[in-house]
Amino acid sequence: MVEAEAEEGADHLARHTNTVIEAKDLVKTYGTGDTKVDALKGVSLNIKEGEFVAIMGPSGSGKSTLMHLLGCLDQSTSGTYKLDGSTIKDLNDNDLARIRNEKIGFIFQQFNLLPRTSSLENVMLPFTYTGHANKNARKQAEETLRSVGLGKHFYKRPSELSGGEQQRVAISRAMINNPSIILADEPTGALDTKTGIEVLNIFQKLNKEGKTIILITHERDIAAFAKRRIHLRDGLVESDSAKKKKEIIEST
Amino acid sequence: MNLLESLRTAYRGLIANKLRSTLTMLGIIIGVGAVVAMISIGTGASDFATSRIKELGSNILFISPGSPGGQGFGGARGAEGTQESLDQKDAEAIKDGISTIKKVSPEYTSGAQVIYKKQNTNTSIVGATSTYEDVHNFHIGSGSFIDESDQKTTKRVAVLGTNVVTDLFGKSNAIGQTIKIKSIPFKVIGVMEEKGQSGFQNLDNQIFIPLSAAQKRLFGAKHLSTISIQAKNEEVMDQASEDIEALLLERHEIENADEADFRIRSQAEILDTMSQVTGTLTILLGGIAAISLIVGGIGIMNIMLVSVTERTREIGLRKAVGAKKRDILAQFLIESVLLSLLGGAIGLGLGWGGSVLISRIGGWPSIISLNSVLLAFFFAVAIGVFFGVWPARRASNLNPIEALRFE
Repeated sequence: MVEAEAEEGADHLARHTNTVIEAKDLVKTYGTGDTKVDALKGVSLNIKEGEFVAIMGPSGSGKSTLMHLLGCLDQSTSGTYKLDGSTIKDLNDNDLARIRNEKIGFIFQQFNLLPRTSSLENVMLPFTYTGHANKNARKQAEETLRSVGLGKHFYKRPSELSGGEQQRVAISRAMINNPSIILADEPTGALDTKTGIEVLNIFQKLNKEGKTIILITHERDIAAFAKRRIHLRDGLVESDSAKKKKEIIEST
Repeated sequence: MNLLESLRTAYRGLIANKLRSTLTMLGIIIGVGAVVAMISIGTGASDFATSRIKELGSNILFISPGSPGGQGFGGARGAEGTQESLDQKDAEAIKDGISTIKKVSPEYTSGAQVIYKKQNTNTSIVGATSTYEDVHNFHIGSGSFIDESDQKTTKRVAVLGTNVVTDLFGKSNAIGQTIKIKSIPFKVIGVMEEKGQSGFQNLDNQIFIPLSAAQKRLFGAKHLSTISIQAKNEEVMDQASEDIEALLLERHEIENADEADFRIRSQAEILDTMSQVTGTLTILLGGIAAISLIVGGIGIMNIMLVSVTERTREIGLRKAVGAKKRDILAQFLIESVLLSLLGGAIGLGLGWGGSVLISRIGGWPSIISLNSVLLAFFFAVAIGVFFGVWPARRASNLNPIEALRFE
């Protein structure tokens, strides 16, 4: 199953045809009247399957808001957003939850693993909400954990794992449902430089296998691992550039 | 999210905070325990009352001596029944003079030590006549009961209750043996049928001897402690009671009925008094139950609110990976119901044990019915749902973005 996916991913990587994210003139406004804040003032961007994109910007630039919109945790005030072909507009909470479950894998700065719960069960958590039984859940979770080098830590709890290991469990959890995009919000923010780089190397490896990864960060060093970098400033896209191979830090 | 997984998650949550969960359950434990005890004692008492009425018939009157000092106010009064105002002649006068009655059983009861070889026991000695059996509907099991000639000749014979037999003789045959009551030898001529608990008294824990023997040989008394009367039928009860009162007032030369030195009560009245007592106890337990269930419920709500706050990030994460509102709602609701259900189960056990204990100590009948078990669980679940809904709704309505940012 995983091999099949990898092949499929590689295929897409080669062609780069499917557009996973199509955002046009996204505007997000919070509050009303005097307290009105325009967090996003019209952001347009397309991301194709198999891309590795870093979204950068100082705090207040709107990158968190953009991540929430892309991650279907919130909906835009105006503009259109298509994820994997389906338009995200006027959906209720349940529909958004279903889309998050099926199409998006989240990775957070603080890992957000369930305490007192084994790595395996943490990884299987998204299956809990898919609504149909999955006989291979355990097997898939084991394989995913193995693929990030945690083959020996199936039954360890988060408190028994290092930060880097916890983040790798979180990465496994994000991948388990084979989502259309993986959204990583400052994934190395709570890690030291060395483990941070290890985590970024995992992202690169996953990307090579065909996964679409969107990395939200304010650090240039981190963004350097991505193939394409989008800078936001004051709720608008300031620059959007694909990097040449030599500009990308490659894992060894 | 399926139920089994929800239960596992909830269970894990409770186990993680054992002390907190236990303390939270305490209110429910006490509440449900009180409900169960209340119901079991209530049903036990009413079952007992109805069975007693059925058994004895509702045509029995008891006359007991009044308290010294009369029924008026002022002055120190002795306990009821301590006056020596009734005697054998009263009993005979009732028997001869009142047409509405069928049988009269004069009795003298007192406690004494009884010895057989090296065994001894303290029990109540009932001085009775041959009419006792019928009036009390309490019959001989083996051997024979006291007859009229025993009474006339003040014969030293005794009929034992089954408990006394067990205490003194174990499994060997009692009839024909000689026991000593207050050092005076009595020959055992019979053993009563097994009767069990009656109100506060165990009927099997008595020894019957001829009334004359009890009065003259053992206790040196001339008075009676009770006259039990069987009326002809239920309809004439009031008439009989009035006639007896008039007769005894006349015999005792008392003009004002309020100053009577005796008291006439029917079986129904005694059971009434008893059910009043159980009623009071039921209300008391019901009050405790209601208050502790509410307090317990508030405790659960409080802990669930704390738990929701503590686990805000977890809720945010669950939402981020696809949990719907109803998944979160179910998760927290199941947790609060599990908490109250567990408390309910423990409470059920304690209530059960408690009512058994009460029935042992107080001679109080108690019955655990399926109804009380169901009711206990119903209450527990209802409390869990009622007080769990608000925290659970709060959890399910959390905005995932804010929940994930929560520190």
